[in-house]
Amino acid sequence: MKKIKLVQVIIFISSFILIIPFQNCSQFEPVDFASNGTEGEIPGISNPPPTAPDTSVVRGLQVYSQNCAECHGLIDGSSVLNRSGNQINNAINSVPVMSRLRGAIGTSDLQALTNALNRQPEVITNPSTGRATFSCEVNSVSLTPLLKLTNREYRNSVISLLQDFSSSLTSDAQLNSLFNAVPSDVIVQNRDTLKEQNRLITQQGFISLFEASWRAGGLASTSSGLNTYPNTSGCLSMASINQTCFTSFIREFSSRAFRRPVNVTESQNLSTQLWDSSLNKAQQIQFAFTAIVQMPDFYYKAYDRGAPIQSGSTTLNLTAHELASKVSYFLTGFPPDQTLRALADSGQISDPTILRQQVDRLLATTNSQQTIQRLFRESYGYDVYDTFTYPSSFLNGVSTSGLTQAMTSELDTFFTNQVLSRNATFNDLMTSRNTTFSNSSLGNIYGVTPGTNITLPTERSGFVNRAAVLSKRSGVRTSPIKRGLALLEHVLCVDVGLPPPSAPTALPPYEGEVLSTRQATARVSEASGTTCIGCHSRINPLGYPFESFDTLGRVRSQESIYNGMGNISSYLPINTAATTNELGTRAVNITQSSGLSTELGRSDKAIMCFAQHLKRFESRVPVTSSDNCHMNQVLTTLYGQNDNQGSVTDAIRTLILSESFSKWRY
Amino acid sequence: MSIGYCKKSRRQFLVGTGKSMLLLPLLPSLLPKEVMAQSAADQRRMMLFWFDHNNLTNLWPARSAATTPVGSIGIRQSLLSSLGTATTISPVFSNTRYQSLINRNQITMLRGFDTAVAYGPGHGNFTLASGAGRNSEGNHPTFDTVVEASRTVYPTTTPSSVRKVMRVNTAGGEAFYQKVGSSIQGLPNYAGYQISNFYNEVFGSLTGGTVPVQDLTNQFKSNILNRVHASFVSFRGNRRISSEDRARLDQHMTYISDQQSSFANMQPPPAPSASCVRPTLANDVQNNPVLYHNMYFDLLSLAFRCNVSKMGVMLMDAHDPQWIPSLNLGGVGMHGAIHGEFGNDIQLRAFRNWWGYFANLIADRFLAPLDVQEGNTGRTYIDNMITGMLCAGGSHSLGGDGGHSGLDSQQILIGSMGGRLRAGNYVNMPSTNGRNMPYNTFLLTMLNLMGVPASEYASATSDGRGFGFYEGFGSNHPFASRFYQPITEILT
Repeated sequence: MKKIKLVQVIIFISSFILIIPFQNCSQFEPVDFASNGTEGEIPGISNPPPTAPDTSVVRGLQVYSQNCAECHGLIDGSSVLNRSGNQINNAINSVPVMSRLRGAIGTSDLQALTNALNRQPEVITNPSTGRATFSCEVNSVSLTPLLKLTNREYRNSVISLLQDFSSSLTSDAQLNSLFNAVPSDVIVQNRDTLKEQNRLITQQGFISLFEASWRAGGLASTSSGLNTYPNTSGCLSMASINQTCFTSFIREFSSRAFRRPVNVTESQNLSTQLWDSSLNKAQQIQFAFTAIVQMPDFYYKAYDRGAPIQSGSTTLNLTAHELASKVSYFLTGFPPDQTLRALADSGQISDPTILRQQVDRLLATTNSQQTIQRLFRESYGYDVYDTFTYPSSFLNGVSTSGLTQAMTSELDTFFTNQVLSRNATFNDLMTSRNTTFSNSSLGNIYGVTPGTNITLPTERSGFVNRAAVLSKRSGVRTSPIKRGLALLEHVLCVDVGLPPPSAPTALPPYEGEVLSTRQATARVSEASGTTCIGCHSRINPLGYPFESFDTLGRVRSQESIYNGMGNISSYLPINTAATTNELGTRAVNITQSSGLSTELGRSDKAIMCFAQHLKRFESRVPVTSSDNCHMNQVLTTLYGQNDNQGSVTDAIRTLILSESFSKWRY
Repeated sequence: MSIGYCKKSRRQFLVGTGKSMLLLPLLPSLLPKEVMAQSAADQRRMMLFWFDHNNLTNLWPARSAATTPVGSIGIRQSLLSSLGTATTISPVFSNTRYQSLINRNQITMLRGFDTAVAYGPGHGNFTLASGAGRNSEGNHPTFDTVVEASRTVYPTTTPSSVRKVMRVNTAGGEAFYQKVGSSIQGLPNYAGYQISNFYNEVFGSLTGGTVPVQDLTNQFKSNILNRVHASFVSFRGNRRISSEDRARLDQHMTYISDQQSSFANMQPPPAPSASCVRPTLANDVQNNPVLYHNMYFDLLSLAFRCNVSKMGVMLMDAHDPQWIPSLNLGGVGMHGAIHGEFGNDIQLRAFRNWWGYFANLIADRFLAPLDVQEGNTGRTYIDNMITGMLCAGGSHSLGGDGGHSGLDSQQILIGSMGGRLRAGNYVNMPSTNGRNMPYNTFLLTMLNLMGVPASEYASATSDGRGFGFYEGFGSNHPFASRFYQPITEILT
C-alpha cells in the first residue's frame, strides 16, 4: 500500500514538472501588451508597446554581433529572439560558456541587446478604420539574406530538371530513397514549430544532397530524353559528343537549373570548366548535371541581377526571371515551369495583370497544396507532438498507431481545402467545422465516421479545436498551459520567452487533496505574490476553455482522475470558463473553446499575427519593422470591408502583387 | 574513359605508389628497372610551361605589394598568401588547387625582369626558357638544352631509357630550340609531331601493361566538387551579398572541400606492380586538340613520377579559338586578339580564357597527380621540383600592342625544389632608372636550382661568353654586377 502511495506521489510530482517552467517569467516581458492597456482602449492594439529608440537597437545589434552571434547565429534567425533582460542575465550567470560575459555587458548594453532581440512590429490604430495596423515607413524593404533552397525545394528543382529528360526518371526508387535519406532541414524554430531552414547548411545534408544529385545525373545521362533535349539540335543522340554539342547542352541545362538565362560567354566558361574529353557521353552528362546542381546559382536564391531602384541604392528591383523564380518557389516549392520561364523571357511576368494570372494558375496546381500545408504547419505548429504515451485504460480502444500522422494530415487537408478550394477567410479557418479524413481512430476521437467533407460537431469549430492542436500533452492529464501557450505564441504572436534557468523543477507534493487539472494548474502557476502569475495569467486562460477535451482531443464532460495503476479512481467536474485580455479586446469572457475560436476569428491581433506568419513564410526570415508596410497591405485584404473578410488567397495575391515583393535589399 | 593508364586512377595510383615507395625503398630488386637509380631526395626536376604572349601583368598584384626588404639591392617581398585569395591574385587562378598551393606556401611569384636585350623587345628574348625559339634569333642555346647537356644533372651513367628533356609544342606552328654547341632545331607542332612520337620517346623503354581498370567514381566525384568549389569562389567574390552571407558560403565551401578530400582519400591504392608501367595511348587522340592537351599533361606528370625525365618544356602559343574550348573571340584570331588588335574586351577574354584554360589543365592534370608525398622525403612531388608558368614577353595592361613586351616581366614558380627556393613569396626585383633586373639572372637561378654548376652554363654559348650573357644590357646597366649570378636572395 505504501508502495502504491509512493508511486502516486511520484506521478503527481512529475506531472507538475512540465507545468512549472513559466515561473518567474513576468518581470521583463518584452512586449507586454496587457500592461500597457488603459481603460477603454484595446491593450496591445491601440496602445503600442514602447518602441526602443533606433540607436539603442543599433547598439543592441552590435552587442549581439560581438557577443552572441557566434553561438546563437545571425540575429534574424537567432535562437534567442525575444529574450528578456532578466533571461539574458540569468543565462550569463548560469551558462558556463557565457561566463566570459559576466560584468562585460553593462546595464545600458543589456537593455540595448534586449531591445534588439525584441524588435517587434509596432502596432497602431488606423484612424479611418479603427483597425489595428503595423506602423509603416514608406518604401522600406527588409534586408534580404542569401537563402539556399530548402531540401524540399532542392529536391523539387532536381526533379524538375529530370522531367526535362523524361518524367519516368522521377520515380526512380534509388533516387527517391536517396532524397528521403537526406537529413531533415525542418527543425524546431521558436517553441513548438518546425520550420524549413533556408540558411542552415550541414555537412551531412550537403553530402546527402550531393549523392542524390549524383544519382539524378546518372539517370539523366542514360536517358532517351537526351535525344530530344531542347536547343541541342539532337546532337546528344550521337554515341559520342564533341564540345560544341556539350556547350549547347550546358547552356540550356544551366539556364533551367539557374532559373535565368545563361549567356554564351557564361555557358562557354561553364563548358570549359566541366568538359573532359576523356569521358564518354554518359560520364560527361552525369558530371555536368551533378556539378551544376551543386553550384551556388542552383543552390541559392540569389536575387542580385536587377537594377538599383535609384543610383547608389542597395535596394534592387528583381529581374523578370528572379520574380518568376520567387513567385514559383513561394507558391509551389518548385522552380519556374515552362510558362513562367516564357513569361520571364518576354518580361511579361512583371505586368501585374499577367502576374496575377500566374498566381492564380499556380495556386490551382497541386504543388501549391504542399506550400499551404507548410505555411500553416510552420505558423501554428500543429505537426509537433509530445511522445504519445497513454495507458490502455485511457485509450479505450483508440489505436495510436499512425495517429499523429492522421491528425496532422487532417489539418493539412483542412487548410488546403479551406484556402485553395473554398477561398476561406481567416475567420473561416477559425470557425469552419468542415473536415476530411480517413483514419478510424481519428473518427473515434471525433465521434464521426471518417469521410470527405464531413461537418464536425459544434465544439470542433475551427482548427484550434482539432485533435492535432489539442493533443499537445500525452498521458492522462491535459495541459492548459501548453494549450494556452500554443495559442498565445502561434495564433496571437505573443512570445513570452523561456522560463529562467533558476525556475524550480519540482513542486512539493500535495497530499490528501484531489485536484482537477485546472485547479492544480492554477495553484502552482497563478498564486498571487509569485512571479509565475505574470505569464500564466496570460497563458492559462487561453488553455482552460479546452478542458472539455482530453489529451487525445476527445470531448469530455468531466475529468477522470487516474490512480497510480492507471485506473480511474474518481471524476471531477471541468470548468471551461475563462477571461482573457489577449484577444485584442480588453477583457473577453469565454465559456467554451468554440467561443474562443469565434473570438479569434475576428481578432485583429490574431489576423495581424497571421499576416506576420504569411510574410515570414514568404521571406523565410523573421519579420522586421521594414516589413510592416508589406504586411499592412496583406492586413487590409484580410480585414476586408464591412466585416466581410478577404480570403487567404487574396492575401497571398496582395503579398505577391505588392511593390515590395519585387524588390530586394542587400 | 578512353585513357587506360594512370589517369583513370590517378590519385589512387599516386598515393598507392607513394606508399609502396615508403615500404620498399631498400629492396632494389623490387624497383622497376626502368626507374633511375637515384633516391627521391636527390631528384631535381623542372617543368616549364611557357606562355608566349599576353601576360597582363597589371591584373596580377602590383609591384608595390612586395614590402619587406630582402638583401641589399632593393629586392622586396611579401608572403603571397597575405595578398589575397588565388582568384584575387590572378584571374586565371580559379582552380582551387592554386589556393591550396598558396596556402601551403608553394607558389612564388617573381616580378620585375627585363628581357629587352640583344634583340630588343621582340620574340628573340623569350626563347631561352623553353623549347621555343626563332630561327632568325639564334646563337644562344635554349635553357632546356643546357640542362640536357649538363653532366651533373645527367651523368654519363644515365640509362638510355631516360628522356633528358621532354619537349611539347602545342603552338599553331613549328617551334625551335638550340642545343649547346649545335644549331637550331625545329620542334614540329601536333600536326607534324604525333603524340605517339612523344609517347614512344618518353615511355618507349618501359615495360608494357596497363593499370587495371578501377572504379573511378570517387575520383569523378572529387573532380566534380573541385569544379563546384571554383564556382563558389567566383560566386562569393562577384555577387552582391553581405559579409554574413559570405560567411555562410565559406561554411558551405568548407563542406565541399572536406568532401572533395574525402572522396579523394577513399580511393584504395593500386597494386605496387602498377607503378611506372607503360601507359596506354588513347586512340584518336591526334585529331582532338582537347584530348591531346589532356594527354600531354597526363604523360608529362607521369614521366616525372616515374623518373623517366627531369626536365620538361611545353610551349603554349597563340592558339586559335578552335583549339581552346569555349574560347569565343567573335571570329577573330587569337594572335591579333592578344595583341589588342580587336579591343580590350577581346584581349581580356583571350587572356582569361587562354591562360585560364591551360592554368586549369596544369592544376588538374599535371599538378594534381604530383600533389602527393614523394617517397619518404616528407614533401610532395610538387614541392620537390619546380614547375614554372613563365612568360617573359607580355602586355602590362589592356590596349595597344604589347603582346610580347620584354620589360618588367613576371614569372610564377610552383614548388621549392626540395626546399632550395624560399617559396611562398611575392618578390619584386629592384628597379633603377626604369631598368629592372636582367632576365638572365632568373634563368641562372633556375639553373642553379636544377643543380647545374656555373662551369656548365658559363661556356654554353657559341661565342664562349657563357649562358646568360646579354650584350644588349651594356656595362652601365644598374644591375650589371649581378650578371652571371643567380638571385641568391630567393634561395635558401
